[in-house]
Amino acid sequence: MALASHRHISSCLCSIHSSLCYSTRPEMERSSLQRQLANLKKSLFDQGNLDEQFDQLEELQDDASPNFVEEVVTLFFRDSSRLVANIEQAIEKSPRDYGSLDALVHQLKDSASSIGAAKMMKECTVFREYCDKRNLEGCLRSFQKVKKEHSTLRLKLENYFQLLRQVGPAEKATRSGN
Amino acid sequence: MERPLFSARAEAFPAGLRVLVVDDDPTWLKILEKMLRKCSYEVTTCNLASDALSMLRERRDKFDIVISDVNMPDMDGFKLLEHVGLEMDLPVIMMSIDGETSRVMKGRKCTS
Repeated sequence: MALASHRHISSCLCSIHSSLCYSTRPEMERSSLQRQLANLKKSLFDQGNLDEQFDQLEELQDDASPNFVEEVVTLFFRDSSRLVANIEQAIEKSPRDYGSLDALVHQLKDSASSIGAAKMMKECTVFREYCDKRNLEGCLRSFQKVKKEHSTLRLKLENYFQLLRQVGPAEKATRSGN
Repeated sequence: MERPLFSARAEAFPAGLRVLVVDDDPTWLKILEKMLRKCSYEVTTCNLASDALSMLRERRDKFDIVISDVNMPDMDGFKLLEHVGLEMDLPVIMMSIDGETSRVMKGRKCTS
């Protein structure tokens, strides 16, 4: 109980702080933030973490859904974490059912494709190949890579949305009934 | 009654087209819903093929078209296609994710 209210207080303070900073921040600093944002996005693409599907999501965002991309990404990480946990269970199960394991990885890969998580998709493909060959060591190795990319991407996108919030307008558009 | 030929172009379809979209992946479902809403279609989402089938059976005339994922845990998309084709005579679009691209295939009406 005490911990929850502590976090609540600190997040309130953070939002007050950032809105104060936004209103007093000179234009130069704002455009430097915009540059940071552009660079972060560019690196996500250049390093192959994301592909053009992510652009498609940004194109879908509009006044009716002003936070669409962040909502989709949040939903993805929530659901994919569940899939990763299921894969973890399946891979530790004895005897190992490579068929079910493959089905789970397939699900994860399809899900990753929804936000354009290209590197995750590639690692899932490799994982599935090892499932096919019933190569446990290969499976374990590629699963490590999948999990690593999952966390890396999550962090980078959290950064991205945080920057976006700092750069963009302070107030959020109200949702039209849809 | 002659059924209009389905074309992949949204302009061929009127606003208010009543779509039932079925996908077990919640992220894809949200994205598809948004895409279809932007086309001014009336969208109903469903994440279970068996629920979709019940919905279609209950509200037979409430949908114009069904869009369904091929790969679902409770029921294969093609199985859903079969049921819908046999019972309801609705056009069905099957979706398949191949590698990095999402491919929309024309659903064939099943004849017994």
